[in-house]
Amino acid sequence: MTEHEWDQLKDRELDNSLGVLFRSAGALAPLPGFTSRTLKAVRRAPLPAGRRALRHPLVAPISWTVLIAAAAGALAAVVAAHPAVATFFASVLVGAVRAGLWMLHSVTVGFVWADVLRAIGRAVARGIATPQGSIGMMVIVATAALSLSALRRLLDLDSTRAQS
Amino acid sequence: MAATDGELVEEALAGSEHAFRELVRRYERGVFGVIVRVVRDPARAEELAQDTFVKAFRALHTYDTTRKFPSWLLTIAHHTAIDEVRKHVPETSDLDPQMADHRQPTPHQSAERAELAAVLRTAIDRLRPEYRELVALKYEQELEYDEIVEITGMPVGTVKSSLHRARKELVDHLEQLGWRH
Repeated sequence: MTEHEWDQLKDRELDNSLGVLFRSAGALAPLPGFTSRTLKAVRRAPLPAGRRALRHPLVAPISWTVLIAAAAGALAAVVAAHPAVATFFASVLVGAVRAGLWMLHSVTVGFVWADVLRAIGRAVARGIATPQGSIGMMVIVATAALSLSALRRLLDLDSTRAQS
Repeated sequence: MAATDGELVEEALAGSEHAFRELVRRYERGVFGVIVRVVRDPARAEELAQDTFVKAFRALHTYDTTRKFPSWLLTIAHHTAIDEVRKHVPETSDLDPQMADHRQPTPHQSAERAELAAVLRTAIDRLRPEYRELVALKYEQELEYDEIVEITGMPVGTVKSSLHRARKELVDHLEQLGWRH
C-alpha cells in the first residue's frame, strides 16, 4: 500500500468515526413552535407580482360553509315570501329523493346479481381445482348435456307428431 | 405515501399553506443546524433560519425542480449565514442544551447525547467559520461533495482540501477534549 492510499484509508476511517459521533450527538433543532412562527413571518412577507399568497387550511372549508349557509338563508327567505315556490321546491325535492331511491335500488340489485355470479364463478373455480371437484363438474356437465339432448329429442318428436 | 418536495413546492406555489408548512417541518433542523454552526448564536440563528424560509418562499417560483430542494434551500441558508458573519462577528454564546433534537427516547441516552453534543460544540467552535459550515454540511447534514459545492459555490478542490484540513483540526480539538476514535 502506498503512502497516499494509506492516507486515503485513514481519511475514510476518520470520516466514518466523525459520522458516527455526529449521529450519536443528535441533530440541532430550533425551539418548539419554530414552524408556526416561520409561517407567520412568511404570511407577512410581501410577494413578487403574480405570486399567490398562502391560504390558511381552514379558509376553504369556512368559505364553503358561509356560501352554503347564505344560499340556504336566501332560499328560506324566498320560500317564506312565496308559498307557490315552496310547493314547487317541495315537489322537486320529493322527485329528487324518489330518483335517488330508485338509483340506490338499481345499484343494490346490480350488486346482488354481481354477488351471485361471483359466487358461482368461485364455486366453479374451486370445484375444478380439486380432483373430486373436477369429476363432479364433469358429471354435472355430462348430465346437463344429456338432459339437453333428451329435451331436444322430445321437442323434435313432438313437432313431427304435430306435422303428421 | 408522503408527497415529494417537488409536489409540495407546486402546492405551495398554488397557495397551500399546509404544503409549505410541511417543507418547513422537513428542513427546519437542517437549515437551523447549518446556520447555528456558522453564527454560533442560537437566537440569531433562529431568526436567520426564519429569514431563510421567508426568502425561499418568495423565490419559490425560481426553484428548478431538477435540483434537490434541500440543496437549493441550504444555498439560501448559506448566503444568509455568510452575510450575517460579514456584517459583524457574532458574539459566542453557549448553545442551549434544549436545542438538541427533541426526539430523545430515554433520560440516559439524553444525558449521553447532551455530553457528546457539548464536546462536539466546543470542538467545532474552535474551528474558523468556513470550516464550521463545511463540517456541518458534511457530517451533520451528511451531504456529498457535489452538494456542498452547489451550496457554497466553492470549487470542488477547495471544498475537498478545506474539509481535509477542517477534519484534521476538528479531530485534534476532539482529542484534546478526550475523544478517541
